[in-house]
Amino acid sequence: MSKELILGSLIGTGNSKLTYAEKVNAFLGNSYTSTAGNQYFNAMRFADGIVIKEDIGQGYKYAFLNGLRIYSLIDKTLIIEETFHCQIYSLDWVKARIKEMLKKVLSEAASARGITYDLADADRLIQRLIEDAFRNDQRIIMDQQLKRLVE
Amino acid sequence: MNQLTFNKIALGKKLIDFIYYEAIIEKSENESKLIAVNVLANGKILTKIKTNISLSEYELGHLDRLIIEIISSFISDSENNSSTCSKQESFYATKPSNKQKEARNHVAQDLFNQFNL
Repeated sequence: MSKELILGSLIGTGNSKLTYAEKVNAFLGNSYTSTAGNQYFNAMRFADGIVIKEDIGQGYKYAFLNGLRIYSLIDKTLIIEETFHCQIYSLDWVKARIKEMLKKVLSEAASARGITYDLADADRLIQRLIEDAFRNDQRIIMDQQLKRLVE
Repeated sequence: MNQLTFNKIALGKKLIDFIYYEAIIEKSENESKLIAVNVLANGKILTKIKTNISLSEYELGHLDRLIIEIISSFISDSENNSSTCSKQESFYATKPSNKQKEARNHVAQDLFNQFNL
């Protein structure tokens, strides 16, 4: 499966083009401007086995985070999502929410299997995964992650 | 008076890349009225815009344009009225389907592997 098809299936449309934006180290797509002049778009980042998608609205004064979605890359399926109302965009806040969402996924899976794990270790591991995704070049991470799918 | 979802767009017509809409039309003997427009994303209704517009003066081919104007106007009004955001909300939007549960397990397993669990 080509990169475009994988990305197209993740973002819900095969036609929308994603463009890498170096300034924010993310792939941006699905952009449109409302009649009120506000711009809405998605920012996508790859991490180990997952894709994180942010729904962002850029108003005249503030940028708002309207939603967060995390997809399993191997299943190309939405695993968890949150939506927000009037949440002013902050990178630290985005990272904190992603961390909570992944901890929830981990916790539910552990409960279902009846296993226990060190919560502090999990916290550190997830934190590292998120920091890597935001800090390291997303073009390289995307190539690595998509390569895993076809191996 | 029968309420029906207009067949041509009942399944959701694409407005922009990730938003769809459907029209709810009431038909009587004498006239048809557009009573609501549902705005959809990922198959879920994001919002229902109530209207009360007689369709007698609109050609069917212009219905799409009318609906887009209604949605645009609604978004514009919402944006103009929401400049004072006093509260923040977050919630888990859906109960996971079996497919989602399986995908969650795969992601969790990747993480567990890094714990050597």
